[in-house]
Formats: sequence, structure tokens, C-alpha cells
Amino acid sequence: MNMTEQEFAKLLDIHGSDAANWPAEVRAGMHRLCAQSAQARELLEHARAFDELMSATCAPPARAGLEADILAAAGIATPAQQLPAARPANDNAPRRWLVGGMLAASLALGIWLGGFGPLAGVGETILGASVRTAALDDGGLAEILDLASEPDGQGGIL
Amino acid sequence: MPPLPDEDLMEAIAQADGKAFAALLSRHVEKVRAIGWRMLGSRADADDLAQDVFLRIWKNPAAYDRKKGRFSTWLYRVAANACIDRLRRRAPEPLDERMAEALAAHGPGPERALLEAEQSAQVRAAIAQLPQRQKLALVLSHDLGHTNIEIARIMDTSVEAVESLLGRARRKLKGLLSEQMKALVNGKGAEK
Repeated sequence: MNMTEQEFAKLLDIHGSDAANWPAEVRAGMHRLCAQSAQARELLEHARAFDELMSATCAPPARAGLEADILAAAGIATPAQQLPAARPANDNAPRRWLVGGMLAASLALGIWLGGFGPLAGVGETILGASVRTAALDDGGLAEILDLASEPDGQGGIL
Repeated sequence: MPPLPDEDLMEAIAQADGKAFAALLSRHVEKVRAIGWRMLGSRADADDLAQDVFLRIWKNPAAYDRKKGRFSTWLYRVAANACIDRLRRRAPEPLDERMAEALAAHGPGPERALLEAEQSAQVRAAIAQLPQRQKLALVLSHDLGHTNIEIARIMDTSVEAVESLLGRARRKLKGLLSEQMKALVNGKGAEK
């Protein structure tokens, strides 16, 4: 039995304009009618416009951090929360360790070189250069290095 | 390794497994929001609904019984019921507020954004006039792509009833949005 335009309009309201969503048994009738009837094609075009209008007004994206908020409200830590807290901007502890290490190494080198009489001056020069290099590398270290930057270039540590 | 089915994740959630909950949330949050968006009409409400529904699941996972059916069927039913509860509690919003919300959702932009926001507000205002069950059938069919058989399961009704709901919903909306549809059809005609 052939499908009428009225039946077609009803089926469009039930199943939408996408033929893939239509029951297989009526799909062939739909195609046949659209091939024959201008009115059916117009109905289909309007149904497509309706579906397009609906698709264009689907849900906008969720607010930023919604999933994280839900997890937090459930008391579940997200991977970001499990990371160690960010280091404060003015925390230069690792640099202090680096400077301390450099100074200790310089000290050890100075003592070792000091054991060689003729080379004692060289040791002083190397130590002075080492301290100055460190101070130039990071202006923020000047305060730490105050003791080491005596005018004689040897540093008060020694 | 294939992802765990929802029903297995729910069993893990019953053992307070936070990772399982995060996986389930990520998988379904947008679908719950889609229901909230169409039923409640605002992005903020859709987000709140998602939060409310998923926290209920986390706090009381035993409410879901896998012997009674698929998790997603149960979830959409819970989401729809939560929407209906909210709608019962609140007064309808004026169209101006929906416009403002639509504009906010699209963000600031050129004239096109304004037109889209206006169109979105008109569609939402039209959908707001539908009875709740018609709205739900429409979102499940159009936005979430469920078959009428699946919708019947979610809504705990017959396929014939779903077809009737969808038929009436689309017919009513086509009447309310006929101008916008004509503009779309004519716009395409002009492009050809």
C-alpha cells in the first residue's frame, strides 16, 4: 500500500527527518513518496529544518570545572589535587642548596689546594672566582653570599 | 583493555571507589546535562542537576539494582525525575531571562552570536511550553539519539505511547517555530 502525504507527515513527527531512524518496513515507502510528490519533499525539508533548529540549540558546554567540583563535593581527590602544593614564588630553597653545595665544594677544593704550598694562591683565586660566578648567576643570592664576598676575594668563611 | 561497563563501575562505587565514580561521571555527565538543559532551560540549572544527580549516586549507589536493567536507563529516569521535582518547585522564568542566559552561553561576539542566542531562546521558550513527558521523549530521541524502544524503557511506558508523545511534541513545536523553520528553508533556497 502506498503512503499518503498525511501519513508521511505523521511519521515525520514520530521519527524525525533522518530516514535511518525510521522503521525498515516504512522506509521504502518514504523514499518512493518523496520521489513522486513535491508536497512530500516540502514536508521533508521542513522536518529537516526543525531537526536542524533543535541541533543548533543543544546544551552549551558545562561550566569550567564542573566535574572537578562534583568530585570535590563527593570528597574524591582529583589527580591535580593529589600533586604536591605549588611552591611559593619566593621560595628559593633549592637554589640555597645549590649554593651551599657549591660553597662546600669550593671550600673542600681550597683546603685541598692549600695543602700544596706553591699552589695556595691558585686555590684562593679559584674560590673567589667560584663565589663570584655564583653571585653573578643569580642576583637573588647576593644576600646569602654576603659573607663570602669580602673585599679580599677570599670570603669570610675561610 | 575495554572500558568497564557502567554496571561494573556501579559495583565498584558501592565499595567507595572514587576512580570508578570519576569514570562514570565523565561518561554520563553530558547526557544528564542535556536532559537538564531541555527540561529546565538554563545552563546553570543543567550543571546543578548534573551535580545533584551524581552526588546522589555517590551517596547511595545501592539505589541502583542491576537486576532491574541497564544503568543508563535508570540514570536518565533519575535525571528526569529530578528535573520534574525542580520544575514543581519553581515559578517559570520570563523570556528575557532566558535570552540573557542564552547570550551568556554563547559568550560575547558579533551580531551572529546575538541572532543565534535569540534563536536559541525562542526554541527553548517553545520547548518550555511542552508537557514534561513530551520534553523528555524529545530530548531522549533527538539529543541523546535513543530509539523509541529504549525511550519506552527509560520512561517506563509503551513504544506506542512514546510515538504519541514524540508526534505531539514535534507537531506543537513545528507550529510554534514555523517562522524560524521557514527562514532556514528559505535561506537554503537562496543559497542554491
